[in-house]
Formats: sequence, structure tokens, C-alpha cells
Amino acid sequence: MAVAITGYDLVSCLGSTRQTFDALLAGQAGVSPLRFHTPAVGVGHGYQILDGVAEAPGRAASWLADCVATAVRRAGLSDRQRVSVVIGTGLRDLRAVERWSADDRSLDPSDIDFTEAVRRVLPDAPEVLNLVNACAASGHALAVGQDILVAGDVDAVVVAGVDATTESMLAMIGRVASGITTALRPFDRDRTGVLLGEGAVAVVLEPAGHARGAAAGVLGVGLSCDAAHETAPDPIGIRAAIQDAHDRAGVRPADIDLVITHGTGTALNDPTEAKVLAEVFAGISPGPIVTGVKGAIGHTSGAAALMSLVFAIEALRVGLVPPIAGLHDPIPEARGLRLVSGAPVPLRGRVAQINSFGFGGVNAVAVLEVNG
Amino acid sequence: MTGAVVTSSVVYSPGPEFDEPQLAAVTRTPVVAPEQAHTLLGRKGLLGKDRATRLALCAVHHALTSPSGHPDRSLPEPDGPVAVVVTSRYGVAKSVCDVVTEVRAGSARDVSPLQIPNVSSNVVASTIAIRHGMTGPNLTTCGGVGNGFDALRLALLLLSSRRAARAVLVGVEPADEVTRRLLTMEARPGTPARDVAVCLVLDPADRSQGTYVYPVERKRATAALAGLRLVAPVVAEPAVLRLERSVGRVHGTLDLVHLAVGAAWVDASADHTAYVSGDCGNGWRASTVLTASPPERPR
Repeated sequence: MAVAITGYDLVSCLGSTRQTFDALLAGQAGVSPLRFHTPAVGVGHGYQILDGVAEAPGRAASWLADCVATAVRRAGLSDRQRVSVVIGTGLRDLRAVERWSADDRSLDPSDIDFTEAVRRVLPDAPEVLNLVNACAASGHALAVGQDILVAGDVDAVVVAGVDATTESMLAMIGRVASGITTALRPFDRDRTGVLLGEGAVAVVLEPAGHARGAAAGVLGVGLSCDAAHETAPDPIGIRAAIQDAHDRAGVRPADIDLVITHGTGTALNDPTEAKVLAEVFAGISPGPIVTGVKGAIGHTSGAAALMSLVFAIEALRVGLVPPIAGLHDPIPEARGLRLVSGAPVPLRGRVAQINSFGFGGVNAVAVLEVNG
Repeated sequence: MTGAVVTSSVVYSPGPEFDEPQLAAVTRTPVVAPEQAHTLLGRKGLLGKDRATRLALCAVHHALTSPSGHPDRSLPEPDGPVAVVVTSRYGVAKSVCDVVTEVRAGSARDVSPLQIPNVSSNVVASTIAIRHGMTGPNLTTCGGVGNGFDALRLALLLLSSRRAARAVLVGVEPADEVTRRLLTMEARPGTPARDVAVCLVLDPADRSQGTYVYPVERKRATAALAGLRLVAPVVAEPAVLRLERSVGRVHGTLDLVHLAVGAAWVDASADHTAYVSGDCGNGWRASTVLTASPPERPR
């Protein structure tokens, strides 16, 4: 069953929803030198939210609370409605644990998850689920949110994603980096790896029949686990998630007008994802327009899937698909795809597919349709 | 929303034997320390694995090979992908702190590549999936007290939405020094410091035999306590267990320990019933009921 998207909001390194989408269309990137981390992590740049000279505690929680409040207001939810909340996050607020452990900062252990932050905005929500599903976390939150709504227990579900930079994750990226990365360049031959982005996003879901004038609807979300390798993506698992998404959405590959890729700029993700997309859309002419947002806002980890979802809605509504920032010379595996680079391309279409894949082989793929 | 049947439930906790007979009833042997997990599981895939992952793998191993109360009964083959749902709050905390310490003392180059997976909060769930080839949805949840009900809720959703034909539900908190410090900061008086993992196997009610677990209910309640009420018609007073005295107030893992013990209690006799409840904070209480058979109409 399709569910309606009745409100959303996000914040990224490029600003609000509107500011970020305009910057995406202009091909801008929000990368800057890391502010709060030692060069010893082996990473020097990130797509950070520049929200203060010093690193305040609870940054991620405050972005999330603001986005949830705005999305709920835009959806027009009332206090009488029973609302569930599902948050996807890769890193939680493990930054607070790091600073407690390494810098003797004070720590309230309840701040490690985002339940309290959400309850400050929605005190009457009976359940606040924190899903910690790596870089596909908010894609999984979307699937669970749709299932909750379909089960009929609640009037609305707020699905959200959030992540701020942690030192331990930077160190892991630095540990495996072959060189210095100053910009994330999805699907480019000269890509040098991933950089973290920061941000939060919240999307309100309501039953399709009850929501008049909704901007878009979620047709279906597919989930799978590679069960193959911890860090390397597996084409079989990715393909299974796409198939599941199409089946649940009731669409065929030919129905997809736009694909927002996971596109992380890593050695392994981009060729694997490109090859699977080429297989899925083989024989379809001209095939969907293919883009991605991480070259502009970085890899926002747990928030990434819903960030992509919001930009898919914006692109389909205005009929203009942003280019992949940082893409100049596509990898051979992506040659058959209609990748957008350099300038936005016009698109008259209604159906988008959003890919998200995470550490541990967790895959979530969503299919949405804009109305009108 | 429908419930499911619990076809296996196991608590795995190296250390002194438990005082409560109901808790002892859901433990399996052998129980080995996390460092010795290879004696139970074999060496393959254990290199560099953190304490929580090793404990969880041992619990899953016992749950899949020795269903509770029926050591000779094997689990039916699921007719579709198997989901994994894990609740763990502090499973990765020590690895995260260790990595930061190593980086501050030198650089990222000093960190073992084997540590890379261990700083991702979903490492337990993905390792279980890899070991057992479980290609269904793979979820990790990390909320605080009451989080076991979130995990149960997620597992039941995955089954009822037909995303999985079986859900392996796991809770784990390691007793490493970082977790101990964090639990102490939470002011949990009387919390013992011991490793705890728990695993329940959930199947759709129309597919398998087992204890029926109802959907999670959430209500406003004051002074909610996490606990388990075991009811038998031949006994006037139900037994009330609060197992945090034995396993610690280990967040969602405590809720799943209550659930596992309740499932085994109901499994032992067709007229047994178990009521499990948990404090979800902010005045919210979650609860569920375990019965020997499904309701005639799913509620």
C-alpha cells in the first residue's frame, strides 16, 4: 500500500531544503577543511554544518529536533493524532562517548540515542524507534515507517535520519584511504574516496487515503542483507533490494524515471552500483536519468537515504535534475547510464528510485511517486 | 498487526550460575567466555571480533541448534529470507573509545584493519547474517530501557509485512570496562557486571509450533518497572521476576531476557501464561503477553 508524504524538512552543509536544492542545481559542493579533528585521523575534509566555532555537545540531536518539528508543522499534524517516530542513524551520538572517553567531557548516557531529542518535540509519541543501520539507516527507517502505517496502529509516522561526524569513523576512512581526498566525486574515474557529510532530515508519512494534496507518495521500499562481506558491497544483495522495492511498489524497471544513487565515490561502491543499475535497466530506452547528491553534501551516513528522497521529490516537482557534483569523467561501468554531470537536465517524470547501501551489507531501496 | 510464535529462546551469560530456576532453564551448555568462543563456534570468522559479537554469536548458535525445552526438536526450515534484529546499546562503545585512543596516541595508521567493522553500531547484526547466510532485513536498534520492546516490535513488523519468513531477535551487552563505566553512570544500583546475550527465534504463527507472543502494547503508566509475571492456574499467586538483579539493567537485553524466560515458562505447560512489561521512559510502558497458542482471531 502506498503512503503519502505530507511534510518534510532537512538541514545539510548547504543549508535548508530550498538552499540545498538550489545549490545542487548550481553544481555547488559544501566541502570544507575539518574543524574539530586532529590530522592524525587521516582525513582532512568534510561536508560539515558550520554551526559554531567550538564543537557543541548534542549537535546532531538539535538538527534532528528542528527538522522533526518543521516537518510535523508542514504536515499539519495535530496533538490528537497518534504518531510513531522511526529514526535512522549510522553513528548515533557516539561523538559524545568519544569526548567523554578521550577529552574528559561530561556525558549523559541517555543522549547516545535520539529518543529524548524527539520527545522534546513530540512528547506524546508512544514510540520512538532508533535504527542504527549504518549508511542505509534512514532507508530502513522509511521501510519500517511504511510498515507501521500499513499495520494501521497509528495515524502518522515521522521517519528521520541524522548524523554528525565522529572521530572513530573518520579514522576508519583514514585507515583505508590510499591518498588524500579533498572532494567526494561519485562515479568519476579520478575519485579518491568518501568524505563524511553532516545533517538531519525528517519526513512525515500518512495513509494515502487521508492525505489530500500530498506532494508525493512512497510506493514501496525493498530491504535485503548481503550476508556476504562486512565492508564490500555485493551485487546480489543490492539487486535483491531493488527487486524487492519494485515488487512492493508494483512497478517495472521501465516505470522508473529517475534514480538517485548511493554513489559514495569509493573504489568499490560506484562500479558495483553502476553495474547493477546497468543490468536492472538493460534494454530500456532511454532508461532513467541517474544522479546523486553526495558530491555536493557528502556522505551523510544514516541520513543519506532520506536526504536523497527529499531531493528526488524536489527534482520531479520542478522537472529539473541536479548534476552530480564532482563528476567529470565517468567510470567505464557507468557509461551506459544517463548520469547527469555539469548542468541540470530537464525531466518530465513522476517515479524515482532511491538507493542506499550500508556497512555490513544492509540495503534499502525506495520507490516514490510525485503527484499532480 | 499480528503476533508470532517463539520457537526457541536462549540466554547466554558466562559466569556464575543464575539463582532463579526459570532463568537457568533458558541457558544452554556449553557456556564459554567470549575469548573462548571458538571452542563453541569454530575459528572461522571470529578473528578480531569484539566481545558483544562473540557473545551474540554463541547465543544464536544455541538458539538455532537447541530450541528451549526441546533439545531434541529441530527448527523447521523457513520458507523465505531470515531477518536479524539486534538490540545493543554499548556493544561497540569500547571499540569506538579504543580507536580514538590509538589515533590520539599516533595516527589512524596504528589502528588494526580488523577494528574497522567494530566501530559500526550494526556489526553484531551483520556478523550474525554473514555467519548464517541470513539475507532478510537486518536491523539494529540502540534505544535505552525498554528497547527490547522496540526490537520485538520490529521483528513482528518484518514478519507481518512478509519481509522475512523468520526473525532472529538478539540482545547483547558486554561487561567490558567501558560498558561498566557507562552503566555505573546511569546509576543502576545493584547492577551486576556480567556479559549477557539473549536470542529468540520468531516464526509466523501459521508456520510453526511454539509460544505465541502478542503484539507490543504501549500505554502511559507511572512508576513502570521492567518485569515478568508467570501465571499458572494451579498456583494462586503468580511468580513475579525482575531479572535485573541477576543480569543487570542492561537496556533492551533485559527486556529480551524477560521475554525468553517467559517463552520457556509457557512452553513448559499449555495452561501457563506470561506477562512481560518494560519501562520505556517518559512515563511510557510497553508490554506483551505470551500464551501457549494464538488467539482465535489475531488481535
